[in-house]
Amino acid sequence: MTELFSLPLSVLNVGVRSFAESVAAVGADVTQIEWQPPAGGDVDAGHALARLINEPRVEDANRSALAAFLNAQPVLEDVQPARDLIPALSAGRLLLHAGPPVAWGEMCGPMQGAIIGAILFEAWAKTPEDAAKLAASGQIAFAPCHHHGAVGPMAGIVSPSMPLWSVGNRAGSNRAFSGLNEGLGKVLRFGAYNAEVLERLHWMSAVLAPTLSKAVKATGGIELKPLMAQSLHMGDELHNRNTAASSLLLKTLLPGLLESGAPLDAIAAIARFIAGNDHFFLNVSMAACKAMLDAAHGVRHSSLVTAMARNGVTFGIRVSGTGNAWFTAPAPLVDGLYFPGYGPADAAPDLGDSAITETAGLGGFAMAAAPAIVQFVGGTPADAEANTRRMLRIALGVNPAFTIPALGFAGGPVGIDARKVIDRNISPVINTGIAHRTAGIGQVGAGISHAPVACFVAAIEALAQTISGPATPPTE
Amino acid sequence: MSHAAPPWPDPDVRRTVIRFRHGSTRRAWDTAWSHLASSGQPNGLGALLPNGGTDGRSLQTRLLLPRALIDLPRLVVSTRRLALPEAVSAAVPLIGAGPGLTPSWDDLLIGFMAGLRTATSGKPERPGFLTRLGAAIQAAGNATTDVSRRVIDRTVAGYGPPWIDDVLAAIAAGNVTRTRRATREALHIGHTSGTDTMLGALLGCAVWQAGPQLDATLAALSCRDPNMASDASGGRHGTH
Amino acid sequence: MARTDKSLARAEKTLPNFYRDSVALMQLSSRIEGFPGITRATAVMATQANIDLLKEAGFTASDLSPRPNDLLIVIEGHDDAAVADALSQTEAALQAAAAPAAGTAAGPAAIPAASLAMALEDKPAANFALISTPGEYAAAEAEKALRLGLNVMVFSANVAPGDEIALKRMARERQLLMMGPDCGTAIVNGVPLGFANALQRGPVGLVGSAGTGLQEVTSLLDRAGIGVSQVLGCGARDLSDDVQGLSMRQGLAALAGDDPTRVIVLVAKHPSIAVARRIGREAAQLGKPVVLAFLGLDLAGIAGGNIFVAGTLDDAARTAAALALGKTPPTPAGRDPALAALARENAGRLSERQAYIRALYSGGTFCYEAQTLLAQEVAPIWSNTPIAAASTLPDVWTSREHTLIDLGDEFFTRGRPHPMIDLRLRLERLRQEFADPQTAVILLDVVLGYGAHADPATEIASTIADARAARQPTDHDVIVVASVCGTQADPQGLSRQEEALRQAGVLLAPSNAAAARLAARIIHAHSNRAGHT
Repeated sequence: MTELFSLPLSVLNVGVRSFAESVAAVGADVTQIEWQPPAGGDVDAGHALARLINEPRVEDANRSALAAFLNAQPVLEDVQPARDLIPALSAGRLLLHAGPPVAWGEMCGPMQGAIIGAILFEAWAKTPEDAAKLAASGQIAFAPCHHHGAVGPMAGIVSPSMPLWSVGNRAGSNRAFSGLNEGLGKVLRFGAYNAEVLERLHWMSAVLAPTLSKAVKATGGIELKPLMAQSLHMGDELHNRNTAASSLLLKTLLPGLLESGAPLDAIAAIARFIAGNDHFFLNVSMAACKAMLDAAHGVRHSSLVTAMARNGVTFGIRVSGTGNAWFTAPAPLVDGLYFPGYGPADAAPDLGDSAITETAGLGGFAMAAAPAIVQFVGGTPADAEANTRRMLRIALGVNPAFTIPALGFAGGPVGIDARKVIDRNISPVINTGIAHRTAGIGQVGAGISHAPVACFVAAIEALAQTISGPATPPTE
Repeated sequence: MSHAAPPWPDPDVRRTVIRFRHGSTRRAWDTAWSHLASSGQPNGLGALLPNGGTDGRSLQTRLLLPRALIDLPRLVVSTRRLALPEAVSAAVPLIGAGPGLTPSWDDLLIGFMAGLRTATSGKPERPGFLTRLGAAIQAAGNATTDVSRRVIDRTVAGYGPPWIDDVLAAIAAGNVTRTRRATREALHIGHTSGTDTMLGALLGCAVWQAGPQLDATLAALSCRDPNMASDASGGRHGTH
Repeated sequence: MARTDKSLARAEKTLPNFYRDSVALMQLSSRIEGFPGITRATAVMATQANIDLLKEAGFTASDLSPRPNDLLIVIEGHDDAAVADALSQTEAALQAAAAPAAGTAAGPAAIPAASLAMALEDKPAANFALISTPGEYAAAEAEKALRLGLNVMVFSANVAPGDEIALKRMARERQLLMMGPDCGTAIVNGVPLGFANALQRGPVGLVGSAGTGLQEVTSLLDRAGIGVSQVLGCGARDLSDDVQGLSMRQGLAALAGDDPTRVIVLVAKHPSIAVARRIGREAAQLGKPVVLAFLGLDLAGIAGGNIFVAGTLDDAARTAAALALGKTPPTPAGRDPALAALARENAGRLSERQAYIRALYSGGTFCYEAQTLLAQEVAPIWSNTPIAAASTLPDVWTSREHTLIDLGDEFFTRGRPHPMIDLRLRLERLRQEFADPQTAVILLDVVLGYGAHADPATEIASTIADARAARQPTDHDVIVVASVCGTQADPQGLSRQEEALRQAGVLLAPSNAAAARLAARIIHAHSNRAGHT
């Protein structure tokens, strides 16, 4: 400790500003910390956080988890009906939904509408009224997509007959699934269930999916990281901007589609369908992100966030070192611009598993790659960059695979560290669409939301409990 | 059997149509203009506004203003006459000029194009004019900063800055309260960007309309084109 | 740089891939124009259009190739030196992290550090955390700091004893300094931390759990021309039975191993006797002289060998000064004839009714020391922080008989700034005591140094003048006695402060102990004259 006496003092001042001024007055180095009570002033949470700061077990675990994430190689390998990919869907009547667990009676409008649509699609009921009764009866089980290796945007409903993308992690053994994107407007994921929606779902299942399956298999598997990296250089952020990636995907699948043996008019309809939907790649992006994050999940003591998801009622996160626990808080409202004729009173709370993209360092975290997004909250391209730079301060590292031109091709932030969210009072930013609170109307706006701090508070408290015993000295 | 989802209005492209023949629209435009006119700044093209003031005027603004006083009315008048070559020669050379990360003149052009888009439906020559003017401006994108070029690209594609689209939508709806609020928000953007873009937008949506708005605006901007008087009074070109 | 035909100097600089928002650019431009000797300046993006405008205006002569994403700075001034200076200042300002302008977000500007860990990412060489958050958060912040390998001072009070002990043990394991909680004063490597005076560097090292006690001893040493090596705080509760002097013992060991330190002084008020003895034993093992200034303890029997015992702070300073000069320490100050004479002179100003001392302290240690001295001289004594020989003042807002108030006590400082910074409460009380016909002597401490009020003497002097004027002319006077704790190099300036007080008729004593003794002398002299014994 007397070593301190022979070094120049470099002070970090937490609190009263005049103390920093005195230090500066004698010419010594001092930084004023812009401090706020962490965790919104929760003293116990503050202690839990302190236990985890620079804790060797957490630091080692994070290194492993981040390495597993960065080494993951998500490859798009097939398209198959959900029941063939997720065995639990054959075992009894089960429907998967976005976000953490939620009961039928609590679900938001769009999610209930989507479930009615799924029940009709599966022909478990003949009318919407009967479908609603069936849903409320307890004869159908509901579970988060996340619990079965899947992710779904907006309502995110998965039923046994729905086709899913199958993405395998070739650097590991885990796999992730997501449905095919129906397009914009009145679609199932916004809670619509009219004849047109169901007709489309049937076409997707009968014509689109099998043909895509052949086309995907013909490629031998599409490596998704290079494709996503390229689209980041083309103005996508892979949550709310997927135009370039959707185009790249279609380009990659085109030969396989043409050689699939399907009738030409079917192929033409498929091409029109995919080409007309700038968000077609979203679901693939989500599955790729889940495949990468699942590879990093389950590392004991790690504070890496492996999922962020919303069900329209609650916002939940999962952390690598705390197993399958969900840490939830009420879903926030989105700050954004509404389309003409709509306003905040019409909005559903934040909904969907698509925040998995932010969890993987894309979407809002890569906003600097797609500055147009921030105009939805009246910002400038400089704001987009600032957002990405802020996220770097809660990330475990940068991703050499996903570089961002506006940052001089530096890697984007990757690996949300739950400790840093609380320690620095910086909450993960999410680019998101806003759904109408009434089932079936569709998107009414777009903007930015922030993950609720309370989720991270609960997570670090749980993580601190896994660190038992006295604090160990540093391993230098 | 259509398999694509029914067309949902693309959220980014707003079909806003402004016609001064509606009294409420004129009143909304007047509201936006009087708000803008009282928000003069010493810097950027806001310095041309009535209470722009000279205190704190930066050198880069002082250098831009004399050129702008010539080229801005040239741009407006040639657009009114649908004289494309002259409009291009007024607009393009100053791309990249002025203070700011998105240079002032660029902001003006961006607002101008957004405004023009709301008034193309009256005459068949207008959409073509706007397309070709936009293409010429976009082609000169390398002469300005990347940030500005990106905004120009989006505007030419029909996706103007949302805060400007909000003002124009409010004017189109003839809603004075909404217009006032949207104008206030827009003027807060950046340091001079909001003012410069708003100026362009209000000029753009008025340039092809009948009525005294355009002349009064140009007069207030310390611009006087000797040809304006005869043009406005007798004008058969491009009025609703 | 190019000279134009106007004989003005000019410089140009292009900053590549520059990315600041418009407000920052505008501020930059006007800032450059404000530098001395600068006639015109501009900061614009280096587009062809802007370059052309500059050339047309004759503002740039050189043929710059356009680089639209680069920032172009052109500065014109009266001579090369002014221009070069403005340019380098501008570049320096741009290197520093730009703060985001209000209402807009800046580009790649640095985000201000919101936590210790975040600050360390930007500044890995940081080695010290000074924590003054509200007490309930201070322990967690201190733990973070220790885990991050930082030495720590915690100014905050109201930290749970269990937390204090855990932190001090953690610090010991990691061989880091842990000063506090409730540590108001320290000076490490000559850098003032918290409330501290501007001192010369020298051979005396101090460790103390009494902040103003450290300030008094170090200021007196400074006046004697003796400097300090390190001044380490322990926190007010360090020498309790619970905490067992963990910090003081760690500080003692650190100073023992510090070559520049040749004399050690330990300062505490009313420590646990068991802990004091323990520390005394550890100090006796060292090869350096150690002065124990443990106020309120009778440590007869500990002195001897390298251990010296001082009963007051000024004795401790005198002893340490002598030891630092290699001389024999003097015996403690006895009755000072000069003080006695001063007392007799001034006692004549008092009326019969005036009988009592009213002491208003900003430093808790001063209040404590004064009580220990006065308890031997006058009675009864009341205080809001009484020693054993004094009684608890029933109503802290109303004095009775001899009253000594510690205005720095938590009762007064909760929700208010400390009296060393904000004088209002003390000045009100001063007026109140002046108006009380029974007040004979008002006793004050005036503490200077970093962190303290910018000019306490002027405010005190002015209040005394007003209060005097408010008394009826036929009344006799109230005598004000004060000691100023400070040095010439302090921001307030010792001489200036003393002079202002003298002008207001204040009797100045060279130390807090001397001031208390003088007050007692005056009371004795007065009661002798009046026949009260």
